[in-house]
Amino acid sequence: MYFILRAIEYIKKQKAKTILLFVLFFIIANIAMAGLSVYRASEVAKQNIRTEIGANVVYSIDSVKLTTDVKSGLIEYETDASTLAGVPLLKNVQLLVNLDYVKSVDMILHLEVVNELLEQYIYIPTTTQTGQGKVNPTVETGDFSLKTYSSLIPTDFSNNNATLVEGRFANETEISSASNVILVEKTFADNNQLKLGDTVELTEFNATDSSPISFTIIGIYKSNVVLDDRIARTMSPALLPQNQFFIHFDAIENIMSTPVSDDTLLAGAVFELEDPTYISAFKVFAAEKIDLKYGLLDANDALYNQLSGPIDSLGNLSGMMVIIVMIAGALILGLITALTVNQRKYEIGMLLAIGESKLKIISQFIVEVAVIAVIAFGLSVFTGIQAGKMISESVSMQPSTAVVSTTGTQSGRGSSSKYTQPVMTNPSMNIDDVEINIELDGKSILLLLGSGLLISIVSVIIPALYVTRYNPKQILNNIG
Amino acid sequence: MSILSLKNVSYGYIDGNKKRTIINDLSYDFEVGKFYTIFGPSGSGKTTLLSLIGALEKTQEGAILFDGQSIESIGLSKYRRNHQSIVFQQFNLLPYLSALDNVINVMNITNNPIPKPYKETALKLLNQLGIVESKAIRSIQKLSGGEQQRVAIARALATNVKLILADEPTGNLDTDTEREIISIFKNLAHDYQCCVIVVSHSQEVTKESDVSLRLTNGKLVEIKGEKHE
Ligand SMILES: Nc1ncnc2c1ncn2[C@@H]1O[C@H](COP(=O)(O)OP(=O)(O)OP(=O)(O)O)[C@@H](O)[C@H]1O
Ligand SMILES: [Mg+2]
Repeated sequence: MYFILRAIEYIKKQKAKTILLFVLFFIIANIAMAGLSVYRASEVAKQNIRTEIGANVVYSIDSVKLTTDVKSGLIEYETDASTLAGVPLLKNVQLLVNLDYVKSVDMILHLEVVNELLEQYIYIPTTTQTGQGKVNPTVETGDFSLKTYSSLIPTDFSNNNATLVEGRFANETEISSASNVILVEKTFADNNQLKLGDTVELTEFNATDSSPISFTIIGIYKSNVVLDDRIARTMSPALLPQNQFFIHFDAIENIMSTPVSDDTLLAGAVFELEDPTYISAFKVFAAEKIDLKYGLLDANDALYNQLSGPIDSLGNLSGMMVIIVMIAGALILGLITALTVNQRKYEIGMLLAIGESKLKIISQFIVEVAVIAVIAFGLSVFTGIQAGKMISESVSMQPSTAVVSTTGTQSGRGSSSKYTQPVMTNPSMNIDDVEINIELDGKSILLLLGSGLLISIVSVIIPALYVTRYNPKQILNNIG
Repeated sequence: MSILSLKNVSYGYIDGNKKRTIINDLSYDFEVGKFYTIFGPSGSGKTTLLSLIGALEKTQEGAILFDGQSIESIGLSKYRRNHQSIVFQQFNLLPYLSALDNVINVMNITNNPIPKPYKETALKLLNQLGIVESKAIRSIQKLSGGEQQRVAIARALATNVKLILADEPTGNLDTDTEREIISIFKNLAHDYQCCVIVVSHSQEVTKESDVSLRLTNGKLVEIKGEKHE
């Protein structure tokens, strides 16, 4: 092991080379460390966005495609949507529920209902606009709408579009017996002087032989949705959150004239996955099960992409930076070693002449570089993360409001409520919530430094091997 | 008995497209207890011959036997490590180690038993060759040429080998220093029963040797010295 001592003595005596190598390693490690910490931070930030947006995938009819195809004449305007491929029929939803990663599903059906005795909430425009945006008077709609839920907590509540202010959701007994229990909006309840335990009588709208069904109020909720003025003016009043009642999916048959079957078209289904990271895998599996021609699986992707876009480019840039700086470092180190190994030829020849093994000569060179590298890398752990923080601070993130409003009314005008978006986008999410935290875990530090060390060693071994393949006479001859 | 036998050794260099033979079917036996000198005109192949004996490169034909065993079967690196020491005219020592550490270095490399602690043994040896401790711990560059050559000899002796080779070891030294170095070699051969082979142009050196050999036409010819029986 005397070669280690030789290496240490060499480092001490060749101060200029030692300092040069140290500075090289230190700079490279700092840039790499900074790059890696920014990269890691962007990955974490993206994950956080996913987590915050949630693990929900909404399955609904692809109304954009449907509209285009109707316009271009590919399908008839009168076509029954439930006959189209890939739409959220109950049987399709059930196929997807059985896929991996699905924790629960919220099946959403809209049913328009009426009761002449109850006061409908009327939207009061915040701005005065005339002419435009009046509800098409030729289409009749119900006064209110029922919205179903099949998960323990309806998606609208779990994503904060609505908050329960009093009461509860349907319990297991009520679900299994398909009891007529209902949740109503607070404004509606106040306007009609309704409280928990009261009953409301509702009749299905436009059905031939329908009779009023009575529902017991078990919960009162408050809608958090702030509607865009223009959308609110044009949408069917029955779909306004204040005119919406929540009942359990299993109770819908009590009031609906057509029985629920495999071919029932849902307004949509919300799949809650085990984890947000499974979203893309789930989509792939789903596409294998069902031809999603007129169906759409959306995990709030527009919002996710908008939020993660700038972070993504920052992450890619920093990842690239790490790779480039590592390659450049390896080349520079290889060059330095090649040049100095040439200077050290006679030393190699001499060591060979006194019987030192090639392995130990190369080991000495490796130790020389490794000792300097380890010290430089060790210091850079502290300074590199600091540099990473500075980089990510200087790359300013445009704090733009990224509320994507898909508030369920693309087809509100004149068409059946069945085509509306099943749930609204979480309205509280915007880019201000996205934080980049510069932190590096021990594993990635070790990985980076380990690969740095490995690259260093390789770029030392190659030129060293080149020299030691000669026999000692050849080496000594060239100098003497 | 002979410690080193050269048996029909040949060696040449490829010059352009024709081969130039430098060592030509050379056979000779070297014995312990004797101080040999080899001389010959420049370019006659003295350094080449010493490199073959010192296993710095392989013979192309014939064999070199050490204690009756071919050095290739011993293993060239192992042979260099344990059975011979070579002193060059220059470039003998690692510049970043002190004189003392240069000696300790070979003690660590050889497999031969060396009395411990190495530092003490090395200092004693250096002292015998006129390098006192204050000089021994100095960096090599701060020693004179003669002092460096003494360190190189101390290093050659440090591994307790029987075969000492030297290629013009006094080429850069003044006559007084040369004389001292010669007496050290003589001593090694006569008092320590080593086989000492020195390549030298110098008349001083040749004069002092037991056997003087001339390298001509790729062969060794005895000029002075008794034929062994
Ligand atoms: N690597 C080589 N390639 C080709 N020819 C070589 C090589 N090394 C030595 N020679 C030639 O071999 C011959 C013998 O060289 P060598 O160094 O052994 O001579 P020498 O007797 O030691 O000379 P000097 O007294 O000048 O040291 C010379 O003509 C030299 O040019
Ligand atoms: Mg020579």
